[in-house]
Amino acid sequence: MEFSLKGMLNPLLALQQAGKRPHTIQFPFEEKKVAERYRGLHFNDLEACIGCGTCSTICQNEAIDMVEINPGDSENAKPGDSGLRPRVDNGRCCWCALCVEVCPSGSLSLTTHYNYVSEDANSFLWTPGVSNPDGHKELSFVSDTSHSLLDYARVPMRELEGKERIKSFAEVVLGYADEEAKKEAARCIGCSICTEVCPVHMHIPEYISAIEHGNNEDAIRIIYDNNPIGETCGKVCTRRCEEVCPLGARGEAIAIRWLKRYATEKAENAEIIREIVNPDIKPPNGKKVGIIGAGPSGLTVAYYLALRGFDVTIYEAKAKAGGMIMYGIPKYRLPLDSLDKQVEYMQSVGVKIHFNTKVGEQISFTEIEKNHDAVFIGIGYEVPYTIGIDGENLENSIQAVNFLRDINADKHVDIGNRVAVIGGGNVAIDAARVSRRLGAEVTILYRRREEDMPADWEEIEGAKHEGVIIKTQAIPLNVVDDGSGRVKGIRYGNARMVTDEKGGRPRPELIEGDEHILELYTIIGAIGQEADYSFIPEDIKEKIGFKSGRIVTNEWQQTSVPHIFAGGDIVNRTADAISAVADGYKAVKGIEQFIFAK
Amino acid sequence: MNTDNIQSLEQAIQFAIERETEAEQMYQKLIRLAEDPKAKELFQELRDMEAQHRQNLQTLDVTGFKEKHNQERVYNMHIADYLIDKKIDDVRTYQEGLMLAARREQMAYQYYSLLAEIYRDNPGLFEFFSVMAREERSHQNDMEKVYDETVFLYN
Repeated sequence: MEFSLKGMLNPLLALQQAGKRPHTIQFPFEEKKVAERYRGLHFNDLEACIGCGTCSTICQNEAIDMVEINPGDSENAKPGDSGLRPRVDNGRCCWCALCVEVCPSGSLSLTTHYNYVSEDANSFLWTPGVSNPDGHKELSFVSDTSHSLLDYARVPMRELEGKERIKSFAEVVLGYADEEAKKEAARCIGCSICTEVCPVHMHIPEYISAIEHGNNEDAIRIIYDNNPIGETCGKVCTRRCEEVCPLGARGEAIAIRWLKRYATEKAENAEIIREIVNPDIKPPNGKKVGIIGAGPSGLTVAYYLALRGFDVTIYEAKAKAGGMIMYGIPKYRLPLDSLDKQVEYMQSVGVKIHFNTKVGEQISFTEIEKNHDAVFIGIGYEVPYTIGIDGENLENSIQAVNFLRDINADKHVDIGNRVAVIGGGNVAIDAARVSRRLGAEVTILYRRREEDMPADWEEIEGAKHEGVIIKTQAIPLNVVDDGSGRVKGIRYGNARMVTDEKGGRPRPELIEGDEHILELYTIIGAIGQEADYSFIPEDIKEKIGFKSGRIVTNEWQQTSVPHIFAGGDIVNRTADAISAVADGYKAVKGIEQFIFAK
Repeated sequence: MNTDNIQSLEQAIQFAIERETEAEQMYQKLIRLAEDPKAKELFQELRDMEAQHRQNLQTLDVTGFKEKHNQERVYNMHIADYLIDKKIDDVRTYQEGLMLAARREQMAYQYYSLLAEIYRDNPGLFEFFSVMAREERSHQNDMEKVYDETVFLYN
């Protein structure tokens, strides 16, 4: 081999290059264009998400947990929102997108974003929507309600047709058949958001699951665990639970009320309820509790205290128990025997009811106080406000609560063939629909717009379906006298709506000169009610403490007079049966704590 | 003092103070008569409101009076126009109390408006009665708003 000096120096020549910049050309990184339904990293629309946790439950890799984005989010969340949001561990995620498929609100989706490099294992924890706030610009895999794993359509409830309805007081809603109930129950995703919103916190997913699996007796037991008038609520509940059902975001909420109705109706009489619920009744503890009013709150207190061994007595002014649900709700919504059955069951476990016993007349408040360790007041709002205009006292100008009470008591009320109902709440709608059943042409006069009516929208639709005319933005001015002291008609004026500059409800403003007379036989006032506290001695009234006409209580429904508790309409502002049950349920704990702490 | 004796702004203010005092005493009487806690609470609020009005008038700065004139539009729901005119002896309930209060404020508005017209040639008195009329209209609106939010909650 020939020796070469150049050859010997070559390695050193290579060193020459060591300080130079490389000659390779670095191109800008370009992400590949991905498929239309590509499954990249998650994005969550934080506003649409309600934190139901269905994504977390379904994830087979346990890659999703629910977290607070900011401390206190859970406590400050609005009703129907847990305040939590999903966090994805991208080290575990396999991008199967099952979480997206089952997201009922449609807030969760996958994006085209797939490139993620990090040496920090903790950075794989990714809170969609927070970690990528602009993720909505790169969505790819989104769920579609038309071919979803979830069933967004409710099993329709069969009802009587409008023409059939007004022929009698037969129940309008016909109820689910077994297969219909199971099918509807199977739609539930079991997120429990409804439970949080229900004033009583009923175990909704649990009894729905029992119905789905055909275990109806279990469903009844679960319902009676914290609501002794489940069947009533199954027929007439205001169902805030359904308003927050996640399926309602893009479809129809689970028919929670109808499922409760289905389950409870299966127990046909008090004996069967007793047999199924098989309550654990504690031995008598020697303590006595007096309850004023057999409405939903009073019945609830009585039932659960009786199970706990208390000697409970309800003092009820009327001939039957139930309060406004017995005397204010028409039979076509709540057949009376349904409530009787539930009350009979309560009596069978030890609840004593003294009917036709008006406190302040047949027995004094002081006597009840003296004879019991604690007293619960649940008298409801039964005194109607008057319509307050000239002619309101003419013959055949009547009050809806009195009218509904008389009709439910099978009394004859002559309303003639033309009726106007004044008001826009559920009582007004009930009075109107009852009047239709008595054969009258009915017009509701309401001062505001239809969307402002406090009545349940289903009841409004029901009234219209039955031929009730709803005249909105109509202000009653005076009742017209026929010259003999009877109602001849009502003079009303049309109104325009004016925005309240301070953010309140838009107000109706009378349009001057735009006045009309509606000829009538009967006017029914249904503008609201208040309580009658006249039975409470003045010194107790002074001590109890009222605010805006309602009794002030603590979280256990205890007033500032320690042995007196209160609940229902006279305490809360929601004016519905389920809130009254909730008050009663809380009072049970309050009364127990008070008596045994003495 | 009756309206014939009013010659100066000070006398006009004294006249208004007497009206507020009368109202205060009327609500005090109703507090005593009312059995319903909600009505009692309302009458207490109304009595305190009238007492406040009286104090405002008693401490009114006559020299700076004109500049304080509030020019904001006062809303009128016209609810009081159609409410039954309740007499004091018939008033016991919350609704009746509100009806009485709304009608009284409306009548006070009409009264001060009339006085403003009568004293149109006296700029100081015209201004004072106009402001009082506006105040009473504002109070009428307050009463009507409460009526709308409570009695008319379902109407």
